[in-house]
This record gives sequence, structure tokens and C-alpha cells, in this order.
Amino acid sequence: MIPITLLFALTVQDPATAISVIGQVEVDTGKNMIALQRFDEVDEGTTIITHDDSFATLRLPSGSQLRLAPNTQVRLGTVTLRQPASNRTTKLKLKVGRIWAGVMGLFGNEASFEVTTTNAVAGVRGTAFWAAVDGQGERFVVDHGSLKIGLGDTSLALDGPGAVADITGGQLQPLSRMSRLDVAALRNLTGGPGASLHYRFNSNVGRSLTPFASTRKSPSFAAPDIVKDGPLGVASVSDQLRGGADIIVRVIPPTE
Amino acid sequence: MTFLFLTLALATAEDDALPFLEEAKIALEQNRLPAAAAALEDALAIDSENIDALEASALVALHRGQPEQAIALLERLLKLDRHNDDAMVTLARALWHTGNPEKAQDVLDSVLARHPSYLAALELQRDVRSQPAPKQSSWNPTLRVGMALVYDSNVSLDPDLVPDVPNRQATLANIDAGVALDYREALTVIARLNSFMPLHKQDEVGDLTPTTLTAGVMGRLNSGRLQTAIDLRYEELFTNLFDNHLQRTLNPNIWAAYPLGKMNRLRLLVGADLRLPEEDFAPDSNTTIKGAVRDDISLDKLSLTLDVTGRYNTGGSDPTDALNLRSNFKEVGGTILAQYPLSDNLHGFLLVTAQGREFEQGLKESTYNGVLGLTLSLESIQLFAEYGYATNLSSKVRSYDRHQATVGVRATYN
Repeated sequence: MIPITLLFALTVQDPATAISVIGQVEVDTGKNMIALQRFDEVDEGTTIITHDDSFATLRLPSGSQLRLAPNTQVRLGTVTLRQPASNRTTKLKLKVGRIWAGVMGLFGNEASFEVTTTNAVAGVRGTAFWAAVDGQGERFVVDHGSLKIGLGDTSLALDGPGAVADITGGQLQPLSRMSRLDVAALRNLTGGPGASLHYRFNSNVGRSLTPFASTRKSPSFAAPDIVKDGPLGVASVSDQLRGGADIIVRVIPPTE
Repeated sequence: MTFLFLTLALATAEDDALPFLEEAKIALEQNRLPAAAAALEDALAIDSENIDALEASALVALHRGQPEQAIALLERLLKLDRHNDDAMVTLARALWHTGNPEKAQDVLDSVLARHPSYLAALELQRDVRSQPAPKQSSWNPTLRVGMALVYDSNVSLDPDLVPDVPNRQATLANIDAGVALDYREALTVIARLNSFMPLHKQDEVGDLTPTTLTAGVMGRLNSGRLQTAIDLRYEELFTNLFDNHLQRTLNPNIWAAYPLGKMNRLRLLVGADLRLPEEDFAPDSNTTIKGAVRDDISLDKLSLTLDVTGRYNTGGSDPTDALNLRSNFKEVGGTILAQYPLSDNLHGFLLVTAQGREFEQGLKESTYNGVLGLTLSLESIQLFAEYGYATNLSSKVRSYDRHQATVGVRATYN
């Protein structure tokens, strides 16, 4: 396996790394297309392309993470390196498809993390969010933290899990907050099952996540042959729900 | 065909591990941590460099009180994914839990050098510097208390208890309280009180409203993805609160569960109900032997449980008990339970049961039961509403219909 870095100019000191590649994923270097393999390094200026039923996850040098859903194209734009790692500028261009960006908190006045779409720019300083572009328009959804979206001279701040805004017809519109179930479905859609695995157990990210205590296994109080543990969830209705006035007449024949 | 061949040829270990990640995800959603750990172990056996599986395995191990295992997994992960600052913080947490605050601080120093304002690292650093890691108790207690109002159109317990009550329509109060102590996911001890009390017509239906006291112990053994358990329950049955003691039962059960594919979990159960009635309730003890096959299916948001149970009662020596339809029977029953989240906090379920029973004396009967319910979860409080309908088709004098409606509240602490 030849690292992609070696195939073209060695100008980038600290490239992103593909930490997960599922299915068919390619990198467009501007000169040729190369199949992306896990643990390949991906330089700025390249475009990552996922195909049907394919996913890719990139680790950026700042620690931030980028998950690409199937049929997505993202160009890794400028990455300006400074110290510490959180004091850096990252720019991505989402051409089409859907991405999830988990952005490590930025530090310093010059630091920024921006995702541009056809019409808008989303800027964050420590959050996780989805961005999607298709033929109908563009959409931004907050996973946790907050997000600022700019469209021309207007801007909109989204705050908290499930906050969502659409850009259709050149207009930036906030929509009703998505439910946790819909956010969870979006997580799975964008990153596959791997994206959902450690989310609920990871107390490092987001203040809104489920705390450890409430995710403990609760033992069932009902016997194992009961299907539903509730007031009416009985083991055998034949035994326990019997009703109706029942009259038994026993005729005992006289004995001699 | 060519496309299929190419697809197969291009499949990597990471692709092959996907079904196990899906299985682990479902197990985690259902709080079945040992099953999740086993599925992740299988994923790593296929793809030892799977970052998602390594990180999730480490978090599950830390959550299960296995920080040493978590450290080993995180060290493997960080060799492959060196800029994973989340994993670094988790490593620091695991080191703290193994009694190595200095090493934990070293890891935190390297994270904070990269991200000076990383809140999770700063919070953990504060804890590491100020206190030893909290000890994770081997015993995990759970307490549940619930109250409900039940409208019952035909309060019934068993046919021969109060045969001369013409109108059994009543409103009941239900108290359900239970405590469980879980020891390292291997042993659980359970005690439970469940009582129905009439709010009126005490004299007429009090003898039909049950109070049960249950004590149970369950031992579990996990071998890879195979889960086995022995469950032993002892139950005392009273009516009129604790005024009349009717019977005690002993229910030993053994079950084994194994995941079939990423969405199915098959469980086989064999057990018995040993019934020891008071003399004036029934003259003789009897035993019911049972076997059941259950499949739990996860279809996106929909959870389905299919259960088929067969029971055989060996009967007692007194034929009058058999006439009361409690002994000397063969029974086959099937249950379908569908559960669906309607929103983040509101869940709906539908339970449908059909049972057919044949008695040694020749009488055949069938019983059908449906329960429709909603549960609203507010943190550790649950509000629930259920409606149930049961109908029994047998002989002219024994058939019955029954409607039940319940509203209640339940609080769980763990």
C-alpha cells in the first residue's frame, strides 16, 4: 500500500488520516483518482469521494473527526498549522452528500473550523454537526454544541442537539428542532453503526449526553417467562385472567 | 455477476466486521453490555485495527469496571489513531481508576498541551488532582416503585373462589415495589411486592384481588456470545391484601440466548411451576412443566418479540382441582410484543397473546388477550397507560370477557 502522500507533492507536514474506509472510497488529487485505503494519509487540496453504501472517517491533525456518508464529495481545503494543535484554521468544501464533523475545541483568536457548501459557510469553535448538500438545497444540524451559519450578509446561530436550518431558494431558514431519535438515525445514516457505538458511553464529548448512571443495566423484576413487565403483562392469561361467574354442579349418585 | 464478484473481492476486514458492529450497537441500545462486549470482541477478531470497535470496547470495559482491559485497548487504538484526543482522555480516566493518578496526569498534560481549553480534560484533571478515583461497587442496586389505578370489568382470580358475585366490575389500586441487587452482572437477587386492592366493593371482590410477594435469584454465565441463566423465583399469593393466603409457588427456569445475525436474538427456556396451595384453596399440589422459544428482533426503531410456549400440567390426585381448570392440562401459547418509540420520550407497545388449553377430562378452551399501552419517560419517572382485553372461549358456563384499563406512574432508581 503506497501512502497517497508519496504520490504527489510532499508539501503538507501533518496530513489527515483515513481511520476507517468501508466500501468504495476514492481520492481525487486533481491529477488522478486513487482508491483510498484505511490509514492512508490525505492531503489538503484533495477531494474524497464515497460511492454507494460506502463510508469514510478522517482524523484531522487537530484531533477533529470527519465522517462521510455514502455518495459524498468533500474537498479538504486550507489547513493552517499553528501551535498548539487547537490553534489552527481548517476549511472544508462539501460539494455534495452528507458529512458529520466532530470539531475539537479551538484555542486562539485566529483558530477556526469552517465548512462551506454551495451557498453557505458554517463556522464552529468546538462542536459536532452534520452538513448535507443535495439537489434540493443545503441543511445543517447540530449534534452537540453550537454552530454559526453565514449566507451572504445574513447569519444564523444554531445551539443544542437537533437544532437545524435549511437553505432553499437562497434563503436561510431555521426549522423545528429534530428529536433525539431522528438525530440518532442521522448519526447512523452518516457514519454507519460505528458512529453510534461509543457516542452514548463517551462522557468526554458534549454535556448533553446520557450520563453513565442512567445507562446501567436494569434487571427485570418479572420472571423470565413474562414477555412484558407491567400491570397487565401476565405470564399466562389462561391462569391469571380467568373470569366470569362459573357454576359447577356436581351430581353425586346415592350409594346403597 | 461480474459486479458481484468484484464487490466480494474488494470486501475488506472492516466491511466484514460491520455486522458485528451493528449487533453491538443494538445490544448497547438495549443495555446488554456483556452481549455488546462479545460482539465487539468478534469484530476485533476479524478486524483487529477497527478504530470504532477498539474505542467502543474500551468504553464498555471501563463502564463494566475493567479499567485494565480498557487501557490495553486504548493503547492499541492510539498507536493507530494518535490524534484521537477523546481516547486520550478516556485513557487518563482508566489510568486514574487503576490507581495511577500520576500516569493519568501525564496523559492529560499531553492532551491539554494540544487543547488547553478542552473541558472534559480540564474536568478530569480537577478530579484526578483532588481525589482518588471513585471505587466501582460490585453491587449495583435498582429500586422500582409504581402506583396505578386499574378499571376492571370482570375482576377475577380463579373460577371457584367467589362464584356468586354477579357484578365484578371494580376499580382497583395497584402498588408495585421491587428491589434488585446485581453483583457484577453475574448474580441478581430480587424482592418484589405487587398488590391490587379494590377502592370499593371490598367485601364483594376483595377475595379476588391478588397480592404477591416474590423473592428471586438469577445467576448468569456468559460464554462469548452465548448467554445462559438460571432463574429461581419463590412467590406467595394472598387476596384481600394479606388476609387470605392461597398458595406458594416455586418457579425454577433455565434459559440460553444466542444472537442469530445482527438483528435477532434467540432464547430457549425450560422451567417448571411447582404449586403448593393451601388446603381450602386447592386440595393438592401440582407441577407445570414449560418450554419456550423466544426471538427478539430489532428492525430499526421497531422491536418485536415473538414467543411460543408449551406447558404441561401433571395434575394432582383430587379430581375437583382439575374441574377448576388449574391442573391436568396441555397448553400451547403464542405471544407477539411490538414496541415502537413515537417520540424521544413516548413509547407505544402492542401485546397479543393466544393460548389453547386441553384438559384431561376433554374440555378444550382458548384464551386471547391484547394489551395496548403508552409509556412516557421523564428521566427516572415513567407515566404509563394500558388497555387490555381478554376473552375466553370454552364451554357455555366458563367463557368470559374482560376489559382492563390502567393508568399509573413508576419511578426507578439505579
